[in-house]
Amino acid sequence: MALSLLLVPPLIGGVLLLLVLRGTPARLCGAVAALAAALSLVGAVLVSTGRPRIDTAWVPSLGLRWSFAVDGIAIPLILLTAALTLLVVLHSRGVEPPGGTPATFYGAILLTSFGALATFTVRDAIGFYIAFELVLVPMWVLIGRFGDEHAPAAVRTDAANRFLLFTVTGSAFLLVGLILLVTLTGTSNLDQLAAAAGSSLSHGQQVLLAVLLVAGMAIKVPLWPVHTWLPPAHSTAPTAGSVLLAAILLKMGTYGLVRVAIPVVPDGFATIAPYLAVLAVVGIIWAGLACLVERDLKRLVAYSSVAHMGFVVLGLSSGTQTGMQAALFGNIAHGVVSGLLFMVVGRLKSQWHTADLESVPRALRELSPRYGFALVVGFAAALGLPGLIGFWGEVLSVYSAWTAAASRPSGLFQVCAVVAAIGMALAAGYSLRVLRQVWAGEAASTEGSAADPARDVSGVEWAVVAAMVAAIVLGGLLPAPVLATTGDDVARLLTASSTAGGMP
Amino acid sequence: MTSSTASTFAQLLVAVPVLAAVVSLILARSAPGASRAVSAVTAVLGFLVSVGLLVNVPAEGFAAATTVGPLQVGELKVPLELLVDRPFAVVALAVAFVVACIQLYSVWYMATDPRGAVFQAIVSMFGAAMLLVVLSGDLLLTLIGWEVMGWGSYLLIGHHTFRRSARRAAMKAFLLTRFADIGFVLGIVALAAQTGTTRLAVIFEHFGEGAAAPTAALVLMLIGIAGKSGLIPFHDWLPDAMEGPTPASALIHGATMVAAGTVVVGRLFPLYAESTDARLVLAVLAAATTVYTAVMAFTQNDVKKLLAYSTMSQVALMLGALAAAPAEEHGAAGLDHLVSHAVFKALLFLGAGWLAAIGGGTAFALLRGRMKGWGVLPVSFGLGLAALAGIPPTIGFVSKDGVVAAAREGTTTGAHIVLYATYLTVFLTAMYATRAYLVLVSGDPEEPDHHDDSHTPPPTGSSYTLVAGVIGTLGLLSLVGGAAFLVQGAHIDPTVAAVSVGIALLGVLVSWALSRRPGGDPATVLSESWARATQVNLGTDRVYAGFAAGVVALARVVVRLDNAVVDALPRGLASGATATGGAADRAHRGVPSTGLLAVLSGGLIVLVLGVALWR
Repeated sequence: MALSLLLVPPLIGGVLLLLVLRGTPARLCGAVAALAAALSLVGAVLVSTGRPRIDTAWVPSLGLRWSFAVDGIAIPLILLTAALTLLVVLHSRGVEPPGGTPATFYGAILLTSFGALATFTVRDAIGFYIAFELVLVPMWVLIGRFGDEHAPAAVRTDAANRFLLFTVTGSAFLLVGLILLVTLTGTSNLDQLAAAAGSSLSHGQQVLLAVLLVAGMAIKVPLWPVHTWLPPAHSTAPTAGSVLLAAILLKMGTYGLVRVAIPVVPDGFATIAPYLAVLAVVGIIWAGLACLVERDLKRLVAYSSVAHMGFVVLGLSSGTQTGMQAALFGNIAHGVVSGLLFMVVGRLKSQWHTADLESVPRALRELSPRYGFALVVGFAAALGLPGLIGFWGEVLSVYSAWTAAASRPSGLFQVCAVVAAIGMALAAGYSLRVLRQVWAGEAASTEGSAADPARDVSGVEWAVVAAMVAAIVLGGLLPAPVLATTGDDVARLLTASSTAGGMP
Repeated sequence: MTSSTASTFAQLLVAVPVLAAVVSLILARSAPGASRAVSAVTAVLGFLVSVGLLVNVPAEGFAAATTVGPLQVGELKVPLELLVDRPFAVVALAVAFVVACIQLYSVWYMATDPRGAVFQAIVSMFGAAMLLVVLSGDLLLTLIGWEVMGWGSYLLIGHHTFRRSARRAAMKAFLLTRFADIGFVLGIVALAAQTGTTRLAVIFEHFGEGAAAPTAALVLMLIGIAGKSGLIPFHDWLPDAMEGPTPASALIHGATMVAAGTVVVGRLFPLYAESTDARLVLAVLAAATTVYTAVMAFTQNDVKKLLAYSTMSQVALMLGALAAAPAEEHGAAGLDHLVSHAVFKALLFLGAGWLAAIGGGTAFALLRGRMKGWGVLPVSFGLGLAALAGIPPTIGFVSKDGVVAAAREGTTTGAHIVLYATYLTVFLTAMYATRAYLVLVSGDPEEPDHHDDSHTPPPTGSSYTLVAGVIGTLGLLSLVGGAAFLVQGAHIDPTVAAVSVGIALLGVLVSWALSRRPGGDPATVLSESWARATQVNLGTDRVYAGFAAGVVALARVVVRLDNAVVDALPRGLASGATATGGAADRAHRGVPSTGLLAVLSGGLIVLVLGVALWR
């Protein structure tokens, strides 16, 4: 029941908007979407407390089951997705989406949310794949149709197609991997697969499966060097699209690693983990450096996402519970922080008609103190400042790499820890660069003149931004609830995989 | 139970300024007056709490207290607890006292600043972070306070964002310390990794029971400590940090940020005492820094810059004492000097703010002779300088005597290095402190060529009472505060005292003698070009800038590679697919394909055959 409340409103709402309410004005569409998102959020809260489970036959001839469940690993992501969908819908209020009807715009948001929520709750390998793929089309519409109206149509199409083709390529690996997995083990139930922990598979089979599954997820995360779809997608996408992309879609990749790869083929994952860790820290440094010279604010935030997700993957590769906890926490943190940053940066771009760091009309701190404050909090969190939500995931990820599991090459992982720590300093570099240019006004073209009259954020929009800021501060000051939610299931998952034959 | 009362006070001591910061930040724009009142009142309240803590802290051993933890992160235990004992309760008292002085002073100094309320809210946050470092019993909690303080320094130094130099100085301070903190973070990680917990009590126990000293981890942490403390090679952010409003300078220099490294080494003293190698590294860095910065201080042409260099020199003395002291001393000398320095350095900076209000700037040229006739200011400022120089009976004399004694009692190579560096520094410090005093009380000032409106007018009326009260109290403490150390158990060895006071007096005399020359400024004895070089710290900034330029150049290479190499494969695949598709497309368009022709002709043949055979 609670699960239905979580999943059905965004699905029905999305379909309704796309098919029935096509011509309706933006206000009504927004209201419908907000209602659906709010119901879904109620459902999210209910499933978080009740942790329901559904398991009935779906396609008996194929052995597929209609299997949904909620556990501690998924709860933070479900809450994040449902809450951010509502916030994004509210934040889009009063914006007349260019390039298409408001109904399509809100419908695409709701369907993206539905796909993500289904991904986080489904417990069938094939169902997982379907849900995983479901978000692509509405997101493609958001980027290609509703993207930056200042960009030429060719740029928008290129960004949208890039996004689609990269992720579909990843999905091809994922699909092959999943089908192979189901054929070899004879079940598509993810819980059974996790409980078996690959014990019926040979080492070679495990490694092959791990490579296929991880390759599929890595493009979505995205891991260096398959990250080049992300900056164009973000710089083109509308604010709502950027927020959903960063806060939710990228998380599906890391969630997939936790749910479908690590517990299912633990032995195979252990074999490729060192390579993953190296790619992750290369991504941290690579993206951090790119941010130091990137001039487009939205691309900069996108590159910083690559760096942050690098910490998440590093934690997962370490094979420790601390690492997985750090990764799951970092996931949430990045969702909230990049969500806030894209909201602020997106609004700045639409006000200034440019996202160029070097041409800021006036110090944001003077022009719009509230947005200025939000930008400071956002970038402070992005550089991993303690007391804000970004700190825990990154510092614990470094710790987990330093103390990687016994099955990992410890010297290599300690080097990775050092490199990741250097990446944290790079994050400080690019964050302060943005604040100096935009917030403090180093790049300001006018000194204190009223060329562009100040229009500070207010009303619902400010409430949304303030809620994000509050989440960043609360998550930083009180990390215990999130860590406690994920703790038990992380322990179970990793213990099962190490006892059921994970160790060769 | 005194210890549980002490725990409550410890919790309050951190919680009060945190809440104060949040509340005053929320009120800052809608009700700036109320916001500033919250900042000032809670700072005084915080000081009272710190008194309560000192009264209730157990005389021996520790009192622990929980915060927002404990966290269990997989295999790692993070209790996030506070741990307070008597020496650190004294440090906490000094911090809370200096923060309260600065908040009260800021009511006047920042009165005309439109962002004054935000400034004071950040001061509260900054104080909370420092208190967290002082009271922390958990490595991660230390890191939290440590980094939040760095962030506070960024906001405070860059308070005047409309000035380019302030924006640059703020960024430089944060990036330099954050860069050094790579080592600090890794050191903490390596220490915690050995025990699976960040709880200090467990870590002490583990290494106390004969485990090999964690030298690598301790040296890694020293990198971060060198960064925050301004030790060589991180010795060039602090002079630039003078771009911050004067109360921020007083805060950063007095009892917080630069002293945080001393607090951490003092807290981890049981570990450092085990590792001769780590302490040798610290001794060398501290000895080199204390002498170098004292030399730099002598020729500075700006009173705040002179004080900045003197801070680095004094902080290095504290760290030197910790590097040199015999293990059984528990590093008390370093912490005593921290407390003493907090008092007289806060006094000197707050006094410098007053001087700036009088003279319209902090350059010595503007302030020549300006200090005369301002009541409590010249007396207090003079006492502050005397304490800096270590002239008896000031607070600085007592604590510096402790540093010398600790270095004499130490038997390691590091201790010998520290001892000679300390003697040299005592001489140099007396010289520049004397110079500062003589220049400020004699001669005629230049008029400021333009009145910089970021400076506040001199205090009058009730704000005069407030400022004079703060400065006077600090002056009095500088004079007699040393008695508190003696009560606490510090003792003065007559030989040690005689030697160090002799050296200090020699420095005073030399400086005074030099001031008899024409011009009246002892620093003019050194060449003009040397004086100019010392204004820019012998060009250290250029080295940093060169490093940053190198990183940016690397970044440009990365961006080029990202486009030309990393993205080349997907682009190649895409154009390959397009080309293949295009070829197939062309093969299928316009003319009937050969296949279709074949089918058609085949069908025709079948038809013909069928008709023929049927016939």
